[in-house]
Amino acid sequence: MPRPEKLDQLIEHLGELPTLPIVIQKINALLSNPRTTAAEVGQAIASDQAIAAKIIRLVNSALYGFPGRISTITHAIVILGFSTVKNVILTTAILSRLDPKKSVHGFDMMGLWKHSVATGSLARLIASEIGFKGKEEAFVGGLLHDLGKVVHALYLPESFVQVVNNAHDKHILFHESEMELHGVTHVDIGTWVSEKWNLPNDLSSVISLHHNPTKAGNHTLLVSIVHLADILARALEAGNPGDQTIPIMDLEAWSMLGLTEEQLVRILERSQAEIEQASIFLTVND
Amino acid sequence: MKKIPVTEITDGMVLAQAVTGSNGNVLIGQGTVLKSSMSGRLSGWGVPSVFVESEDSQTEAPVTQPSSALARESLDNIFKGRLANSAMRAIYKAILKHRGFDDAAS
Repeated sequence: MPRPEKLDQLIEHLGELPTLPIVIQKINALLSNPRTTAAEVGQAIASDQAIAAKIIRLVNSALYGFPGRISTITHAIVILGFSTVKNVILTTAILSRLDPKKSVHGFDMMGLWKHSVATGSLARLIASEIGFKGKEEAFVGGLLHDLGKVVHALYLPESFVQVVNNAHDKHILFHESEMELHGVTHVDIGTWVSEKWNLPNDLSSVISLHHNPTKAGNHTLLVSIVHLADILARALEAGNPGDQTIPIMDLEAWSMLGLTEEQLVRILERSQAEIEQASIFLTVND
Repeated sequence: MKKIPVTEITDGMVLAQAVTGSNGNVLIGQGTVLKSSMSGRLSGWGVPSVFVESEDSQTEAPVTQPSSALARESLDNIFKGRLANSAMRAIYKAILKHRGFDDAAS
């Protein structure tokens, strides 16, 4: 798909986006090979001690169920499995470049991150409830679905704050406000960042299509989960997505998920505890 | 100084205490002259109320609306214009139930 011309103009102003840590490239290559062993992944991560220490801290949090009991990356893979550890590595690498503690003048940046953590946590709960196997992918997808907003806010704060204020003043959705002011949206920016960082296909589908879940081909179910999680996070008023209204649920995605009212209420009831535990990701660089 | 819900901000009120974000950064400084149009922005930031200067020496004037009514108003505002969609109605109903608003059963 050709890149919108207006995005090119915006990207020009974004300046230099940092690259992801080199270790993440190695890990991606290793993890795409089914014969890779836990020890090989452990050794690769050990080459970047700063990242390794952050990962160890995260996998020892209450969120993963074995607090304080995991001593090495290899050990983490044995206990939690490749998929979980892979997602923690990816998230740690991205958050090491987009520090959640970084503030933006005129906008509550931590509020945006809280919305992201809430979306991730709700996505994980929805995945569990419907028996979707990629629970960790759902969590990371939710946590990073608004990657475009984060990059826009951190690298072009003034134009970002204009979008937020315009969305509030007119009571419109964030992407409607972006279209009005810039002709490009956080989805376009997020897609550009995913390509630049070579993010896994499932994650980049979430970033690009969380407002159009049924266009996501093989990843439709995952993207539908995050689409609903985003809506639930706004309905719970958890964090600050940058606007004050709520996207409309895609009915095809809704019927695919097939949640009953009882299931939905159960997800909402569990969400607060899940969000509190997942908030540890916001302190990953401390 | 008195505490008021952001929906009651009127032009010319003076902020008596800075509005800060979740990580302590100052979003609007103390002494800023407020405008009523700022209320939407503040609630979007997750700020339900502010402290403004008051000639009235009594501090901590009671907030005029109970907090549950404010919460309901805020929720309804979020869902405004969305309830024609059947999935949104189901989500709204589940949220009402979850948050213990009494008309959830209707």
